[in-house]
Amino acid sequence: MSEITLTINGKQVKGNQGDTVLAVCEANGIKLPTLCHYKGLTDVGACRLCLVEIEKERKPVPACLYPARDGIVVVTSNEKLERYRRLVLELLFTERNHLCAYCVASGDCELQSLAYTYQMDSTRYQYSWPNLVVDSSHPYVVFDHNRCILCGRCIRTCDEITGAHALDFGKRGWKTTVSADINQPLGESSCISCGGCFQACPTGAIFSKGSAYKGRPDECAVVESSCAICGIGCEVKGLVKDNRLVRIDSPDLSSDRGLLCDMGRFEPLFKPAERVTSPMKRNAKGQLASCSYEEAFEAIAKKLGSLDNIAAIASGKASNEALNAFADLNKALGTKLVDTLDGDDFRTITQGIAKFDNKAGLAMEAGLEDILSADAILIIGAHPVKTHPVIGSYVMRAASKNKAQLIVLDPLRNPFTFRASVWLRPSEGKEDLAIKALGNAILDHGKVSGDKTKFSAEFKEVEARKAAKTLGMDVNDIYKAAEVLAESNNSVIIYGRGILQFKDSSMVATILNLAGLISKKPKVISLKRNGNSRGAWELGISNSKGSVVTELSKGKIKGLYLLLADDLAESRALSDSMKGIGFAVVQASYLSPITDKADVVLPSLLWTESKGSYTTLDGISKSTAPMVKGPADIKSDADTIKGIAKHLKK
Amino acid sequence: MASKIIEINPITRVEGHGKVTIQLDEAGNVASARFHNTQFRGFEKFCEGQVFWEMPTLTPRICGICPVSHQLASAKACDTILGVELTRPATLLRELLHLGQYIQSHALHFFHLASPDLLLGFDSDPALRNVIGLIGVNPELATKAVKMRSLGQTIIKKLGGKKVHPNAAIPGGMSTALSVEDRDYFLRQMDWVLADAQVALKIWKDFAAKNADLVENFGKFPSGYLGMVDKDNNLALYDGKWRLVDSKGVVLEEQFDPANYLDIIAEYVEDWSYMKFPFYKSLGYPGGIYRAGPLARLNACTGITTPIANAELKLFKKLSKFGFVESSLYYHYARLIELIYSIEKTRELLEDKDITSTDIQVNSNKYNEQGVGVVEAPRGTLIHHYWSDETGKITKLNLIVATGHNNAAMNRAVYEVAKEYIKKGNVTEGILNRVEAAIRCYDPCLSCSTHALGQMPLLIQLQAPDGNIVKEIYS
Amino acid sequence: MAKVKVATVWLEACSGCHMSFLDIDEFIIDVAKLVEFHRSPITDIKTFTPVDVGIVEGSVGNEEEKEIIEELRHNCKILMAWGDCACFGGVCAMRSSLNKDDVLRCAYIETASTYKGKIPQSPGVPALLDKVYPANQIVKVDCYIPGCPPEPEAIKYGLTELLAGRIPVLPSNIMRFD
Repeated sequence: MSEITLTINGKQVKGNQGDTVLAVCEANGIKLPTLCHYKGLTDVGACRLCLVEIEKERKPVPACLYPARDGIVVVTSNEKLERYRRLVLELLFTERNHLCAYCVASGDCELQSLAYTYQMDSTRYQYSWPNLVVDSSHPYVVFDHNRCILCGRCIRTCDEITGAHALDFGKRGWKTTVSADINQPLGESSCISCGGCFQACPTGAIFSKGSAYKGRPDECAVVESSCAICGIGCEVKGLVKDNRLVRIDSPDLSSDRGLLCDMGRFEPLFKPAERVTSPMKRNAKGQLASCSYEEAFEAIAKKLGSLDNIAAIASGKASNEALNAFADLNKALGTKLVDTLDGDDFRTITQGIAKFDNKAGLAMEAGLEDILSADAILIIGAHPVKTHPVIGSYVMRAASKNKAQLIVLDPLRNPFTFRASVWLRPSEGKEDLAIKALGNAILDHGKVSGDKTKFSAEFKEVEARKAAKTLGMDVNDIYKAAEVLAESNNSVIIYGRGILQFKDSSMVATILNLAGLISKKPKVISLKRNGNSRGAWELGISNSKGSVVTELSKGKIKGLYLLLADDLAESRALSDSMKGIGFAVVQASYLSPITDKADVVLPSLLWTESKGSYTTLDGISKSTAPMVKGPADIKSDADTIKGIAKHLKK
Repeated sequence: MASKIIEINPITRVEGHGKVTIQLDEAGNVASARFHNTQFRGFEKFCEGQVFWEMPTLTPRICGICPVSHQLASAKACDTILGVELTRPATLLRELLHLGQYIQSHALHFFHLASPDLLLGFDSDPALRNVIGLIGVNPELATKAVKMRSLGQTIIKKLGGKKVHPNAAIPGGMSTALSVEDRDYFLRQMDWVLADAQVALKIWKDFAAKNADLVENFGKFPSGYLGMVDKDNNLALYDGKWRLVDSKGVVLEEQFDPANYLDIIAEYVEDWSYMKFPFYKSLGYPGGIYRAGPLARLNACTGITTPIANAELKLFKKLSKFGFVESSLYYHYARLIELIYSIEKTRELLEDKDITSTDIQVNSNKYNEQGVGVVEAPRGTLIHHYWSDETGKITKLNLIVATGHNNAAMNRAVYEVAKEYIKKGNVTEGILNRVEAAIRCYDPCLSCSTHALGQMPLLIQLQAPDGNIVKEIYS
Repeated sequence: MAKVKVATVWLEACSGCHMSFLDIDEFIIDVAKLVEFHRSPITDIKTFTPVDVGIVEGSVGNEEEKEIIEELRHNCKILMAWGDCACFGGVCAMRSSLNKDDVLRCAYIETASTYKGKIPQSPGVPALLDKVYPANQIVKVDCYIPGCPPEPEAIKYGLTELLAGRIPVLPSNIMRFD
């Protein structure tokens, strides 16, 4: 990149060839007013606030689009430009219904802030007073078109960062509005609820139901952390007022793992169930009643320490620190049966890799960034938009930005099935055969970049044409998909629940074979269930032999230690299997049917309340910082578990 | 002599413009008198289609003098839509915010508006008969006035974010907690503010002693009295049940849940006013007119939970045979008793250990179909009723504002006073000031600000039936 | 020194701007020394005494308000707008997006508690304009103090500047629209 020199406001400044004038200004600390410009998005020159004068140009030009060239002379501020800018603001204010008085964004609005800067105390133009709708159909955000300035930041965020392209301009001329899909209510559109539009909106046009009026950013403390929900480990920025989480933003939407999803951005603002606020144990009447940590530890140490046949199960939502303490406690207790709630996934994946080739299989595990650089993506039995939305978003971005071809192999519809080049749709339970048929068709295609000799055995057993008949699928689809994959140079395979639900490790082995067949550098991503599933697996918590959860209902286990943390999933099934347990300890954030069955309940902090480390599904270590304090005097999960261990030694 | 119309325009009130027309008969005596509200803004329509989260910030713009009451009634309606139960600290903070408003509003009304009449007299020079005049005549008292109102406004600013149109009460609680330093600061102010309130009470008592006949008979008429009470029928301002009594002491409604207000209250529309006329449904219109605000609340309750105000309430109750006070001038007395209660109660809340808690919000993402929020605004019961769809969008509203309840009563009081003083077409400025004073008893909001700025702007036109102006009198 | 004659009117508004004026607290006592609040600041009659400064709170939404602001303009040397309603239309102007008959029907006929509703139309009440306007769309306005309401500081600034013989332009750091 070659360096250029230009003159801005009479001073010589440096820039790089290819920069816009605005970028050079920003790099040199020269302030220009902007509304439609947003970090990481393509500039469009919609708002006309960054107009500058350039020597030899007939009229002012938008700095955000004008390429900086060596030797040009730029003026960013003079009486005429300032007059134009105020004019633009007045036009923006009169075009829609901008009523700062009660607006949720007042005090945190770029339009308002510019109006203050330009001392816009009145407007000279007639107001349009259009009659516009407030779209509240979305569960988390409200789109109030009265406050929209048509800067298009939401649209570009949705397209370029999220990849969903659910938003675009609709209608024409002065009737133009931001429209979801083709004039659909946002809540019924293809929006994936990432909240990027809300963060990018410069005014109060898009706001969060969970955050409205709870505090302006200037009243809030900012705490940076990373999200521990699904195992991607997105960076988050919590805005906190009086120990309440007002909103969660991304520190930088355009950065790697800077995008958030509804689970990380919006759900933590709501309380899904009542909290466990102190240790509890059964009283004389058999009811759970608050007690001190000491009393609870005493009771647990006494009971669990004396029982022979005990089990311990942890959720993959617990932090590495909590899981380490959990492992130590079980060593001390001599617990034989230790597992995680998602132990089945662990066994299916690890045994599948072992069947295939342990070393090579582990080497195939890809990072999320590999999705963005892929030219073909095969999604097998997975719904990342629902379970790991940011991965869903990466896939959509790869498809829209890099023109990556999508192949979906899934009996069920998901947001990719209509975007995919091919949707292979076997009937449920026949995924295995469909994968093999695809492998067979790839062999037929001839041009295979992977290792044909090593990985083809399994695919020679089936014949694509015959299999297509059995599967009720169009064989041409299978061949089309095969062609895409065979000709790709950089493919990624993503699989998830749709495969793991069968608890069949050979299916995993088949997927790895397919990956090896289509690429020299095969890349595979398995969608694990919880924020720290991988951490728990690596710490050896998951049982390699068999499910401990299914052992529970067999009646042999007399004592149970359950580290649930803030896991609320599957509480019904688990509580049913706890019927025969003589003594159960549950460490959890929320009251649930499981805590109802416990003899001792220990409170657990949420990820938003605690410091902890987590391992992402692609193996990166991330840590959380407490954004808010939990209910008074609750110990961290690790300290709680260590407390029990101490009492054992007495 | 032809019949004439006297027009007093504008009489100002909560929503802006108001005027009085007095129709004289051939003999120059009062045939009828009407208090017209001439402003209309249409909140009930333009709030439709907004989301409920915005209502507690949007609706205070109905009134710049009691925005806190609007915000709280609105927030209460929204709590119901959210389907949440507030935490105790949130309820305490809201009540404290409300009391801040009572202190500022009642102080404003008494010192800035009513005291010039009481201290200087109804017939004194109009140029001096206002708070600016008071600054000249009694600077010490004027300073007390400014200080007391300022304390109320400061409580509102600290708890609510802004002095006028606060924004801290939100669906599900409050957005800002009270700091220990602010709590301690306010506690230190309680002694002088209580003492000053007692000075105001003495001004009233001196006036009442000297003008016993006037006080007893000014704008006196029987009506119903509506007020909020706690479970023991003590005065309640932020939350409680309704008690509706009539002048003979008949209890029409006891421990009535205001959420069901539509069962007992309806509003009549007169062609000549933008303000509707609420009435008690069982008695119809106009038979079922009732009064609200300080006088009505003290008539409706049986006790007050704070000692000094309760002792004063006992004296108040002794003013009439049945224990129900009818003369409009007693509104001033009742307002001062409430002022003392507000100060005593403020201290009580500030001393509560939960008042500085930060556990002041409950959230939910399920929305009920409707919510009714009712508080006692300084001028009377205030009702916000919203209907929401499943996404939180307001589909319909119904608002009955405090001054509205007294609409019929003010018309009646204007008539009673006009009839008493205007005889044979003889109209003086002092008489018209009495007519206005009848309205002023009810403290319709904007009269306060006019008075504070100078004086009640006033023009009387004596018109012939053909519309020709026979005579004009400026105040 | 002769006192500055000031007239204030509130049109379609909530009185919050005037309340905020009272919130200048002790400064009001200083203002009282320098300013003579005009005897008849608000009226809809033909005669209107000339003043130095006219102050308007509120937007213009009915015939009467339109007459008042026109007369105030006619009778003042400098007209200052207080608050979002007078400066921009404000919350009152939310009605402007709607049909005025729908708005009236809603308030006087459709609302839940209304009994035998009808739309007030007698000469006793002024007719609504189709839209609600900020002051400067009806008359020339010389200076503006926006805010809902303007902060007492902003009101104080406006008055101080006027009393010093300058037309106030609110600096960015005390300008607020909420």
